[in-house]
Amino acid sequence: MVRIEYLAPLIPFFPFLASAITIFWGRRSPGRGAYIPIGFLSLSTILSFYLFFSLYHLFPNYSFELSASWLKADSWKVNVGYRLDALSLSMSCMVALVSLLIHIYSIGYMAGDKRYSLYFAYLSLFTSAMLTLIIANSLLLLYIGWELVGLCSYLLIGFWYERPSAYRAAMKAFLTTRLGDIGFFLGILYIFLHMHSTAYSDLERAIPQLGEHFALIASLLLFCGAVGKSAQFPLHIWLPDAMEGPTPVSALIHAATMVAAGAYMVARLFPLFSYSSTALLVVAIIGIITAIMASFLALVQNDIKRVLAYSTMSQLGYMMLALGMGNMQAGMFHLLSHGFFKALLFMSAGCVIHHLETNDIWEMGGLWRRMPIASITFLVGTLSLAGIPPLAGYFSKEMVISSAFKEFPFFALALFGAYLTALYMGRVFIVAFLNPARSEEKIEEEKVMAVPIIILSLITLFFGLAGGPLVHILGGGGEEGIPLPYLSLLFPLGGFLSAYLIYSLSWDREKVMELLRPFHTALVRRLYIDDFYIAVLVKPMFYISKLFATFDLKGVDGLVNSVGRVTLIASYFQGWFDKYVVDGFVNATAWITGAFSFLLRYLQSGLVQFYLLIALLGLILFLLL
Amino acid sequence: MIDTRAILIVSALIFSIGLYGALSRRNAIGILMCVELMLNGANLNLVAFSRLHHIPIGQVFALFVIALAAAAVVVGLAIVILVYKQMEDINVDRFNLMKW
Repeated sequence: MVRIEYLAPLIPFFPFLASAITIFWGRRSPGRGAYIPIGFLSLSTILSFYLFFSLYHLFPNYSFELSASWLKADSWKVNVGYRLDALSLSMSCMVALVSLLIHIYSIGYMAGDKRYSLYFAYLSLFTSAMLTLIIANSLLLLYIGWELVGLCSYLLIGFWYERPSAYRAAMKAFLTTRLGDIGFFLGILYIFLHMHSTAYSDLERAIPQLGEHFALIASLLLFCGAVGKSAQFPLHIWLPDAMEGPTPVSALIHAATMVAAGAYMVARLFPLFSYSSTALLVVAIIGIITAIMASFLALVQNDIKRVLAYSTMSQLGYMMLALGMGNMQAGMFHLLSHGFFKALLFMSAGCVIHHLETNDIWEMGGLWRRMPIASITFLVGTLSLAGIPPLAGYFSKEMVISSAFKEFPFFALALFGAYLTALYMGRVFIVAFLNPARSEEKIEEEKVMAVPIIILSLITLFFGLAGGPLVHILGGGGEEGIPLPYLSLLFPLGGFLSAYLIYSLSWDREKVMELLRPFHTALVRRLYIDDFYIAVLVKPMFYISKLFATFDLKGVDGLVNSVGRVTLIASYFQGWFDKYVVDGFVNATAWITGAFSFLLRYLQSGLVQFYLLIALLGLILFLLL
Repeated sequence: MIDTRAILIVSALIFSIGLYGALSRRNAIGILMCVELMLNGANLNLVAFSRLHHIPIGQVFALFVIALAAAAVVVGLAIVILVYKQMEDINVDRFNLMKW
């Protein structure tokens, strides 16, 4: 019997096909390469939603797995295949939908770019890799998708590689995430060594036998990958620089999907992580550190995209916190809602950047009247991010915070983070959109960019309703979070109020600034973490490379050169020998032969009688002797 | 009965005359004739010893030599005729194409 689940591999395959077509025939295909990816991606999106809703009634106990053997040796086996359940399907719906909207949005944003079709090819390839990562049923396939999204992220951050800052940022992102991926790969190898398979199902079955020690080591190693990919402390440094890429890329890769892959991975392997309470504690601690630190860093950024980047980091920290608190459903819910509203924020900011051609919030101002659509959608995103009802962010963040209720330090810090979130988002909104403008000129907003953000705003408005059912299908228990709506509402409102007091009212800031100067400087210097990496990793690396280069130049090259020189001298001698001795022999032979023949040729008179005479004389001589 | 020694002397004389002629004559036909003389001198020698020792093989050999000499002269004369056609001369001093 043909089951609809068999269609699932098409979800990542469609964008892959589109990407291949667009790479080769992009310039000549419809819409200069934009329409084919959009068309195929629509199919993927429809398929994702179709599968999700037609299997909806079977959740949460439903899981479909199909895999084929790739390699097999003894008991070691490597399978590739896919797994459909509530987790992977809900995630793939979000990714496909956001990606589709961003593709459409990019038509407007990237218009006129000279590598327009290549951009769509990369974006499509990214979507394909991301969807592969999501529906994979084994760590190996997950890892393949994981590295592919990393590659696409690299390509798209450095898309405008003519700018030195862009290619440097691309390199930084690639190398930093690679650092985490080393741990991730070691984790996969560790698991493979112990159970001879990388499939999730085998892993879930084997955990009780392998014990807590195994779970701790494996999950911490795997978590390294998540720290790199999801820009968690201490590998968060690449994400703000990744904003050098085009804004839709930031929206898709560095806000909604790829950076969430780390949290998704932890959720996917939650049976492994939850087996070791220490591992969960580490996840929670890293999460809360990132959440608070990134919020502080966001406070001093003047680049609107960097503020959003830090807020992404901090929200990813919240997801990790929820996962670490053992509430996987809350983490996933926050991941999905964050995917929508953060993409929305980036895309609204992208509209502003596209028209004003600046990222600096202090150069914007007064956008509320100049760009109503972008302003309203940005406001929706801001309120959602801060956690104001009835937007999606309110429900998901409340669920995250209340999942930390039993651990007081985490709970307090999470609430403080919510305050900071509202503060920095309020700052951006007030400075960029409400403060007096430099010009009152109205800006024409493009429809192709406006429609996706309006759709995302609507999703953000209503996605909160999906919370309950989502938690249910992800296997969440009946205990509904601690009812603290007022408390968790108090902090964001406080944050907005502070932002209003600080940035909207005019008062003498100098004295306070003087007081906060060291702190401000530290934040502007990104808490010296980048400097730390430069001092501890980059500088020694350069020093060592220089050392090696010197050794290479003097030692290895010297050796090679001296070998060359010796060969030269030897060949000079050999050449001399060849010329005068060997050739001498040959020439001497020729010369002697010539000399003899010079003498002997007089015997050859050509006269028969002369020969006869000689023969006679010879005979006589012979007889005489 | 003629003494064998006398026959040998005659044959040596004929051979020597032929040898001298073959080495000294300039006419190609003369050379051929002298070669015939040498062969006949040798024949005489063969026959003389055959008679002395009563072994008939010597005479048989002489007969062979006569037949072969006739054949050789045929070939030699044919060559001489061809050479004459080419060079209009049969003076052997001029046949020095093989000189270095």
